Amino acid sequence: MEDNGEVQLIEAAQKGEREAIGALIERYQREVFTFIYKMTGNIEESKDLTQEVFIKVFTKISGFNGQSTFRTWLYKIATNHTLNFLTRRPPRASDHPLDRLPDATPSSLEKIEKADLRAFVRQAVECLPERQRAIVTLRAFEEMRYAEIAEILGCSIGNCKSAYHNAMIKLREKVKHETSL
Amino acid sequence: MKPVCKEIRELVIEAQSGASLDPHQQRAIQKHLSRCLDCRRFQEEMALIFNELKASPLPYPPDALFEDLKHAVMEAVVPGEAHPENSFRALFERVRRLFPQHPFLAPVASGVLGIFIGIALAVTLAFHSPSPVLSQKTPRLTLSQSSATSPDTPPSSLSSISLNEIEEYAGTDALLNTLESQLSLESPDQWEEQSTESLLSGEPQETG
Repeated sequence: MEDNGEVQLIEAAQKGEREAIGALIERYQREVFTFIYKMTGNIEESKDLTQEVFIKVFTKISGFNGQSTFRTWLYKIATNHTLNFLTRRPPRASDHPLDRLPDATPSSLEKIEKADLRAFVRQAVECLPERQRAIVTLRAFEEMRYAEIAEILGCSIGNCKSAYHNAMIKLREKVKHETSL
Repeated sequence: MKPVCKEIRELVIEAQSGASLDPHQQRAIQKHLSRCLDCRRFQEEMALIFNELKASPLPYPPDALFEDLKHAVMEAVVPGEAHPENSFRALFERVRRLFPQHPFLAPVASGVLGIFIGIALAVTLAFHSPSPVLSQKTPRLTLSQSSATSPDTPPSSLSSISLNEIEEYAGTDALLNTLESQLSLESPDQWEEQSTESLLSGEPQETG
């Protein structure tokens, strides 16, 4: 449940009050931008997508009935919009994870330089299929509950949980493979 | 992998993801890890990966980015927020998104689109037909016609028209209405209050 202030803001926004709409944008725009950036890895695209997400949110806000929290509803729109974008986006050379991975042949994860390991992990996340990447981002970064993620992605909690575990195991294998363990 | 290893690894992932495990689950993990080398290694590697995942550098865009973003959204969703310069910027942004791989094409495409719109407007205005009354009964009052003082010949510019001359033309009302619509004034009263005075005083007209 939202706090009282947020409920009032949402009701005012549903009536088209500009101050309420502005307040909701200010409250969530950084969070949504960061989430989208973690999905796309590109600042310009994240900026455009965030803008489009909020336009969509306030165009549809009259249909928000409070069955889920506003944040979950907002993430649902943001996730679906970003996934649609990612499936349409042509692969770019600079985005290919292997192109940007540092050369490294360490014997264990522990021996890899911190910065290198971070790059490996980051790129391994980008290698995941879009839907798994969304689940990892929502669960590992945003620490959302499976029930929320299931609602956002429109799947069952069980599917969500197993997809997340599979993604994390895949992530570990990918990092290990790239670091020649 | 033993079934118990699979279960323990799932619990390890949950614990690393911030889930709060109950004491029974925590004891089960500790007990299993104390005797399973593979799962202990799994836990150590996952801990490293989660640390790096959560420490991944995030962009810290300037506040101006969020101000722009807020204004753009407000402009799109709140009636009355639009301004001409913002509309052009929005047009440019929309064109830019059509060419994500070639950002340099966006200014060119915006320019071409702008020229096209300008030509379309010019053609529309050029072929705008005058009212039948004006075309039949009165000389058309246009800025390009030559100056004359006869009632049958229109003056060369609005600034040279006197009130008497206007009244002498047949169909003056229709003429005023056409002028009003071309100058985008809101009502005939407003036109009479503002434009007639400026016509008489010879001041130039403001069409905005």
